Amino acid sequence: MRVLAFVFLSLSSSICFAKEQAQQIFQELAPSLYQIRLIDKATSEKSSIGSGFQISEDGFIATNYHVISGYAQYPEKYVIEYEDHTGEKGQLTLKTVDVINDLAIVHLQQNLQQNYFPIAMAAPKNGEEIYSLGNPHDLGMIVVPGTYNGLKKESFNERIHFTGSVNPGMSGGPVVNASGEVVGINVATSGNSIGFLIPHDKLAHLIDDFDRQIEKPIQQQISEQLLANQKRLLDQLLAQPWLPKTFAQAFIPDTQTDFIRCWGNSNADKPDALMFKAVTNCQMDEYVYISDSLTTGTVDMEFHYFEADELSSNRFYQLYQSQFNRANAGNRVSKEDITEFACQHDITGSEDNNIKNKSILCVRAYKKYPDIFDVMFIAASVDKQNKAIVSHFTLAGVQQSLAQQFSQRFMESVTWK
Amino acid sequence: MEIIIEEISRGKKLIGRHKFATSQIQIGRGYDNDIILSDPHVCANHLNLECIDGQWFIKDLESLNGSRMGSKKVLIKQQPIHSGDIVTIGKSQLRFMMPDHPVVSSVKFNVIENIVEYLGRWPIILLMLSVFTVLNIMMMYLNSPSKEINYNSLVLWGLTLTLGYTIWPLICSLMSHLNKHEVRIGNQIGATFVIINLFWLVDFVEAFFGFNLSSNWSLNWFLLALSFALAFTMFWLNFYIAFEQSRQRRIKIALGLTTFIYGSLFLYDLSNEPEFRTFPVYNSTIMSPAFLIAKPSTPAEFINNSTDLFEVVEQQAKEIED
Repeated sequence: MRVLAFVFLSLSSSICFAKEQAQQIFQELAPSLYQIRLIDKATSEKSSIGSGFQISEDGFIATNYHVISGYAQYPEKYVIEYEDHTGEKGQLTLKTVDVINDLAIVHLQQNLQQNYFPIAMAAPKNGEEIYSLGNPHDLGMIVVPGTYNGLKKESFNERIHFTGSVNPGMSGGPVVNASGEVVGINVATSGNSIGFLIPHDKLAHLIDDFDRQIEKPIQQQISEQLLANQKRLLDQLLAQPWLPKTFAQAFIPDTQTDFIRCWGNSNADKPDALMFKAVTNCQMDEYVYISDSLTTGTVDMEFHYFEADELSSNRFYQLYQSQFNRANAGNRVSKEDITEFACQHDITGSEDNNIKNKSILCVRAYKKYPDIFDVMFIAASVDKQNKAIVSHFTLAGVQQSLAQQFSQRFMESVTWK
Repeated sequence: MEIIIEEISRGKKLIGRHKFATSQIQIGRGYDNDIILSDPHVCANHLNLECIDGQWFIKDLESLNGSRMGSKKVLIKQQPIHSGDIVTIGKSQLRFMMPDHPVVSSVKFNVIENIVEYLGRWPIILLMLSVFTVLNIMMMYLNSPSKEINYNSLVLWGLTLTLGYTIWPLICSLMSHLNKHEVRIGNQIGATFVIINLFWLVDFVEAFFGFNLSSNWSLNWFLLALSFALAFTMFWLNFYIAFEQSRQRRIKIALGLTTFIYGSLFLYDLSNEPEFRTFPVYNSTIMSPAFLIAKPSTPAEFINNSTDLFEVVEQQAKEIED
């Protein structure tokens, strides 16, 4: 009983302390916090909202790229507007973006004020109390205390795992430590008080690069970032040899990277099914957001296994064929962003004839970003009487040579046991 | 001199033909006549024919409704008959012919007629119908996604489908019947189902080559032309069997009908085509290993080929941007 009471007391005292600190931080920093809005020129109404914070004396404001992505894509359709803590409004100009880390820097020309958020020099410690600031659902600026839980595991582009409610509208708001230094930027939530933040060093890097970046048009900045990101991704994927991983009667590749995670299922629990089916699906659970109609920067792989000893070979193949004709790429695209797919097909086989596939490769090119493609591959094995494996991958936003290297390695690493 | 008298129906069909070597012929409804007609508009003793010095003369016996030579001239007095003359009495028609009446030169059996005759034989018809039915049932069996197959229902569906497809040859037969042409149901069914079965063959060829050949080889246009030709041939044969019509007219109608059908299909496809495809369209034909004859290319060769693909879409992206 005594122990329980102690726990209760210490808990309540720490809550009180956190509350006080949060209020203090909020009061000091509120003047450098802004709500960022995209205003649709035609209707003069808000089309998206987010938060932003001043990062220098001369009026540069950091926010999320996705808050202003509409303007970055269609500058003639929108204006970027801010509202400060006193309710004053004005226009902002877009200076630079980092689509990979979902960051943007906009500039405020008038009504400059001196206060700004300093960027932290080091990452917080695990368990450290940090404070997320922003304007959720257009309800007004708030501060949310929470805990720093280190970097999100198994992710390709680093994100901080934050325990605390990050809500829509807080995107682009700063997350500060007890001394008011920025340690992260609100970016996403997966509900239930799990939030994700962009680490402060990404913003520091964007600021370091600022002078070089603003020379280039936004589209070119995005283009270069996409190219660099896919190179980093595929270099990492192709860095070491892939290991064969058992999948039913076949081997599929294990890419030896932790940011591609696999899930599996089969119909072994349905004894009256006509065929035994198993599926393994490996993908990254992050993507690069360019606009509402375009996401990219993903790798996903899918493997299906079919077996039916009792079926005649012809019937097996007739039924198996219907599993093979509706492959698609996983990323979101629209006509404005990309061409239609062009495809090639052939019977392919490894040199030792361990497996023979009907292979299909389809590519489409990005319209605004030269040398970047989406590649979709699917192959169906056609050499066993009553069993088959379908292997599939999609690479979104990749260069030709790296895509080809990846494709060939993928083709070579799916074999029979 | 002999005379030949033909009874013709109003639709110009021959009902009966009589040859007389006498010099006196009586025609009418009465039973004392040489030619007895049952037409109620004909009198008991209606016409009298007489041969005088090798020339036949015709005389109306003051009948109630009279007689007409050709289309209008009413017979009043005895008058001479020429070979080929047609006389209308009541609602009946008689044609008079002399033994030296010229005939058209004989028609040789042509190849098409031989084929059509062959296709109309019962063993062939049965064979074609069973090939079609069995193929349909087989495809339904192969595509059946469940473990328990209801074979009765498969067979029933197969037969229903075959019955459904016989509607077309039956329509053709009905049309020829309405046109007072010989109704050759057997030949229609035989010819139609030979072509329909050939369509199955084209489908198989398409699948086989689609499966084995790489995308560098496209038979699409050839196969489309082949199906078009098959459809044309089927209609041509249907019309050949059903109607008496000039060669040019038959070709025109068959070509028109085929073009109409393929044109409609094309327009239908066109109207269903999405403005922009976010999904890839590829040849997904696969067959069991027994049908695999292609020598596989290595992954390296396959990926090497894809360089063209990248160039194609890159070019497209540039064109659209410009």
